[in-house]
Formats: sequence, structure tokens, C-alpha cells
Amino acid sequence: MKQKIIEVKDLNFSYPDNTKALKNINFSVFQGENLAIIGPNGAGKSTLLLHLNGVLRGEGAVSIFGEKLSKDNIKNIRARVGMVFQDPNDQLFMPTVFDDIAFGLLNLGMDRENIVFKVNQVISNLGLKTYKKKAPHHLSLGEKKKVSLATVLVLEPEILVFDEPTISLDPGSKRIFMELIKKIPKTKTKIIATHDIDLAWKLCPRILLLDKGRVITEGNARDVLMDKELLEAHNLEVPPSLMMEHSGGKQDIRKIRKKRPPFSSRKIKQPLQKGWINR
Amino acid sequence: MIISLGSEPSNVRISAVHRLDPRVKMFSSVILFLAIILTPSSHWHKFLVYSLGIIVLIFASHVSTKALARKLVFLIPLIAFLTASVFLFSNRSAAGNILILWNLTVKSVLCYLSLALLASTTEFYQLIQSLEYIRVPRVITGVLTFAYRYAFVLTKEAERQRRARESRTFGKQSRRERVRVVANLLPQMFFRTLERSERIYAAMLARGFDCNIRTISFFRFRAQDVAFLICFLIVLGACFFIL
Repeated sequence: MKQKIIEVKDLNFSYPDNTKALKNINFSVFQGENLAIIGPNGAGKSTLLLHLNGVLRGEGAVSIFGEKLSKDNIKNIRARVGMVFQDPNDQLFMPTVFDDIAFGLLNLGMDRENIVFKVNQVISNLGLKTYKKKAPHHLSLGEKKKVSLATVLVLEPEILVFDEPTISLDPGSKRIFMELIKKIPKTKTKIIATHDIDLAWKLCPRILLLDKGRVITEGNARDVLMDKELLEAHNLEVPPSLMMEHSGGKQDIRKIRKKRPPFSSRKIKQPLQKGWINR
Repeated sequence: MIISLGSEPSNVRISAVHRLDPRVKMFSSVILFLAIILTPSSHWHKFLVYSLGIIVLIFASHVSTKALARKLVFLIPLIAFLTASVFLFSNRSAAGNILILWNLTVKSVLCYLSLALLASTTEFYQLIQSLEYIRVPRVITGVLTFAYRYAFVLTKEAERQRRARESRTFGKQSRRERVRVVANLLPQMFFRTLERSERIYAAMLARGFDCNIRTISFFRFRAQDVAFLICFLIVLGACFFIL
């Protein structure tokens, strides 16, 4: 049986202006699991993620690897829970890409040789060699997202938390980023907060639906994402890829492609009526 | 400004001066400033040697002379202020005032040029790391690093706000109206900056930040750095003490 590595119990959180962002949140995540936290804007997804490595602390209990988050174990837990933020401009604050990737390792107190080795390894794995000495503000959004991922992967965390990983990305960059997430070893636990339902469907077998700071439902991705009424009630939609799959749309397209001859070789059975051009 | 924001050159022609160790460049610049400041105003021949040295370095570094000249424009208000102060508040004769003005102008132009040369041939973060080597507190270097990094983000944000304002501005606005709009935009910028700083701090905490800024540097002295430093000190020493 897989080990329970995140356990959130009766979590409540309010911002200083008294906005209640999280209300009585309960859920668990198992080792190696991919969980998507979906919900409309302002549902509390980002706030919830910030509790998973102790950046925010609400009332209730958050246990990571069986340990309740506290001041004493926060450093250790932050090294094991890597977080990729929504806006890469928030995550990339150092003067160069290399320095940004090395930042976490320096904070862990690793020696210089090891840092250089690990950073270079991640840079080559993610194809970032050309950006190594560049300043982050010279990169495109897609490149910044990749570097953000590198800053976390270099720490080799056991849990990876993504906050809206594909927001504002063009389809090509989104596909590349999704492929990168898929390549992350399956032993690592991934938690993805998003309102991109298609992304949730493609990457996560389990879904947690959050709205107005409450857990609305939790379950198998197919069951949750096929519930049109539920999703629409929370400003979400059934992902087009799942809808197509469910209605057999993919098969139909394949059949059409196979059966229909190319346009040039098609015979026009009914000749055009005379004088049609004048009508 | 000496370091111009928003137009950071990313593909400058790399010269031997660019390749010098930033610490050597920083040290040489500080020594040169001291020499310029401590040279008496009557020793004009020494100023001539300093100027020649700076000009040689400017040409050797392939830095655009036009860009450097443009940067000198920022000195005009300072010189104008000095001129006004000298002539309005000094009790000396006209000749004495002119000598003081010459002294201040030459020294400030030479110092400014050498600083501009240093900034044009050294990347900003290398300058910051050089400052760390001369034991400038990490808090200061950290603040400078963040200020430089986010100046680009903030200028872009300000530009977006300006465009949004212009797209909803119809007809010509009076100066008073424009000032009012800018005054309304400034607090918004302040709050956005504050929110961003909180998010950045959260991102730093998430990667184990414990309020100590740690950096990794790859500086190392090479033969050409040592050779440059020795030549520089010999020429400067000879000019300052013997000429």
C-alpha cells in the first residue's frame, strides 16, 4: 500500500483583511500520485498550495511525510516540497539563470563543486544551456517557465507543486511544458493547481475541486470531469479532449480520414446547375 | 544614468577590457578616483595624462563613444549647479572662482567617464559580486541586485499602465489632467510592487531562504589581470608622484 505523504486536516485560513480563503479543508495525497486541484479564479488554490511548504500557516494541521509542519522542521520540509509559482517573474529573482537555479542549493548549504555539477546537469536535461548566463528578464515566458521548473528540479524534491503551470502559455509552449512534467519520474508526487481542465485531465488521475475556499468534491478524474453540471456550477467546463473521447469523436475522425479520398480524386456526382454563378 | 535601464545591451562586442576580472576593474577604478580627487587643480598636465589613459581604455574596450557622450549629459545639471554656487556664494576673485570651477568640472567629468567605462564593460551582477569582495554588506548588495532585476519588470508594468491609460484617453489632455492621472497611477504601482515583493519573498522562502543572501562566484585572477593591474599602478603612480 502506498504511503500517505500529505495530510491536510481541518485547515482554515484568513488573509489579514479578513477574507476567508480556506474553509475546513481536508484531503490526503499518496506517494507517487498526481493530484489536480481545480477550481475557478479565487477558489483558494494558490493559498492552499502555499500551506504545503509552510509559506502560509493557517489553523488546522498540515502533515508532510507524517510530520506536522512546524518551525523546527520547516527547512527540511521545504527541501522536500518544491514549488513552481504561477508567475515566473516571482520565482526568478537572481541576476542570471545559473544563479537562480543555484539559489536553493546554496540555501541548503551544499558545497560549491556539487552545486555546479547539479546545476549543469539540470540545465542540460532541460535544454537550457544557451540561457545559462542570461538574465531572466531577457527570456520569453515559455523559457522562464522552464527555468522556474529547473530551479525546483535541481533540489530533487519528493513532492512537486505547480501553481497554474500553463497559464498564459501559447499552445506550443504549453505542450512542451506538459511533456516536461510527464518526464518527471513517477515516484515523485505532483500536485497541480489549475483551471486548465484539459491539463488536469491529461496529467492527473485524481481531482480535487475547490471553490470559495471549500472542497466541493474529490475523486477519480473521469468521474469529476464528466460531471458537466457540477463543473458548470463552478465556472468550469468539461475538457474538449475528454468530451471527444467519450462521444467516440476521435474514432469518427479516423474513419472519415480513412474513407474519404483526397479532394482532387473525388468525383462530383451532381454537376453544378447552369448559370449558378449569376445567381 | 550610468547604467541605463530597459535597454541593457545583450550582444555587446567583447573586448580585452570586458574580459578583465571585475575585481581588478573595480579596484583600478577606485584608485583612479582617488588619484583624480587628490590631484591639485593647478597640475593640469596630470589631468591630461588621466584623460589620455581613459580615452585609450575607451577605444580599447570598443564602447560606443556616442553612448558615453550621451551619458555625460547627465552631468550638465550638476555642473550648472556648481557654477551657480561658486559664483553666487564665493567671496573669491573671478580668477579664483574659475579655478575652483575648472577643478570641480574636470574632476567630475573624469570620474564620471571612468565610472561609465566600468559600467559599460562589466555586467551589473559582476559589479555587485565585486562589491561583495570588498566587504560591502550583503544586505546592500542584495537590495541592489533586486532593484536592478525588478526595475525591468516594473518599467514594463508602468508601460502597460501607460498604454491602458492612453487607450482610454480621448482628445488632448491638459497638463493638470495628466498630472492627476499620473498621481492616481503611482499608488497603484506602489501596491502592485508591494504585492509582487510579497510573492517574491514567498518564492524565496519556498527554496529555503533564511534571510542570508548567498551567491556563487566564478572570479579568478589570470595573468592578463595581474599584468593590467601592474601596468595601471605603474603608470598612475608615475603620473601622480613623479610628473
